[in-house]
Amino acid sequence: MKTFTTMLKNKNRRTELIIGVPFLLLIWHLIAMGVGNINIFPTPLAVIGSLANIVTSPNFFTVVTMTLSRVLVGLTLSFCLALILGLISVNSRFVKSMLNPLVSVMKAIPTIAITVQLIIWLGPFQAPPAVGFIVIFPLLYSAVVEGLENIDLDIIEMANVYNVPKVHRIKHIYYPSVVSYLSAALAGSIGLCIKVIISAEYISTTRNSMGDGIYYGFAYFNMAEVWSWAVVAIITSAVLELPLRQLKKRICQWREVD
Amino acid sequence: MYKIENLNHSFNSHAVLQDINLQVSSGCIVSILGPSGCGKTTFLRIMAGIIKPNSGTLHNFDQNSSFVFQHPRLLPWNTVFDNIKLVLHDKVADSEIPTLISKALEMVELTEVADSYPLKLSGGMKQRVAIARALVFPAKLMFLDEPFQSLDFDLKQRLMRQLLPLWSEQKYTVFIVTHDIRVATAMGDIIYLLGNRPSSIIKELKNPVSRSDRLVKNGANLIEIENEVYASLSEN
Repeated sequence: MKTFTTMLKNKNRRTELIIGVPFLLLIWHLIAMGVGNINIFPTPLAVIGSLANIVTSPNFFTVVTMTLSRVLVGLTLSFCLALILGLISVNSRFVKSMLNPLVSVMKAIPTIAITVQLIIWLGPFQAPPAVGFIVIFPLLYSAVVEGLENIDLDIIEMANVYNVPKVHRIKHIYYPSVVSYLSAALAGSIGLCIKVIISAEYISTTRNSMGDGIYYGFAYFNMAEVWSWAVVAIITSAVLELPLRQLKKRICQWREVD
Repeated sequence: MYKIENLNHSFNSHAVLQDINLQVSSGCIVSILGPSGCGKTTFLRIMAGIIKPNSGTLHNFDQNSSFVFQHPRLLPWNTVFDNIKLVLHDKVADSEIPTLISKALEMVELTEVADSYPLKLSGGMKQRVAIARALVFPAKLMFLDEPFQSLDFDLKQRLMRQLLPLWSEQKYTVFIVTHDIRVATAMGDIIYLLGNRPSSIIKELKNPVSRSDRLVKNGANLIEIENEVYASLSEN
């Protein structure tokens, strides 16, 4: 049964699509007309035309698949290590103290600096997923640690009083707490991972990549092509995030209040 | 027989409980009454084994017991049914669980919210779920810390009318902490008054009214014992 809040959210989303998106396109078109040069600032129609060319090109599928595979490698590595190291850190002050400075540096370091360094170390194909890992791992690691450290101690005490077995504590107390924090972090991480990997591909001119597509678009002063690849990235991100948002909605349905 | 000898406890070098001694038969319902902040909850938590006292001996308290906390302590991501089920894992046969939970929810008048999440419940409803959880747990020793504070008068009365015969029938030993004199006299076979700082037992009162007569005539039978409690608390 849909709650009032869900209906309101859906209504707001529909309103955004019906009013917001055309408004955005109108502003974009007016600015483009004002600039008067589609090579510098393309119109929405020019981008759509360029998008049609890209999508129907023979290597489009290969390009998108290659970039996505780097995203998945970066995300999977980040997720697995974040979970393992997060669990260890919560139980070991030594490990946590050891990792904290590294995680802080990973969070703060400018992406461009680490990208150029990794290109030198790893080359143009391995560098982008490594950059993805450097950017995403600290976010997921922090989510795991926070999820475990913010478990209500009163609930742990209740579990002690009632002699709740360890397996059921992990299943009903620890796991839901971590998943709650992790799913929020993961949903945001997908879009970010795509962005940084495409940037890394651009800098390292990785062949058969979306970043490379943007590079050549810019090199030939074809901004419509640049924006087309941006649209592809946005759509790819939305498609990847969709199952995660559905999962998060299902996991967090207990948060919905009428 | 449950016995406590020379119990003393401090928090951060600040003495809270001093020279507590009591002796209670199995199957007895004990009310512990006292002003706010006097250490009633600390006393209950020591008896339940949650806190180790600085000194003193407790006899027969080291067994499985259920506890109704001041705040319900429900898992927000579990339904009411699953919150209660959590305490039954590996303790009763799986086939018995739905019946046990169903009976407990019926007793606290919450059958219709078995599939609801705690966020959708009022404070009183959450506390009743906590009471249901304590009732299903297979233990004959029960501790309740202000169990009825979020409940309205009628609901409180109905719940007490259900609990008293259940506890009698199943021979529960119950310790209830409350600041509500009416609850203390309606539930307790023995009423311990805590007072002074650090707290000690200033008075032990035996309830002259039988369990079956306590909640009839809107508790008119309890007037005498209530007055005795008021008088004792006023002296101190």
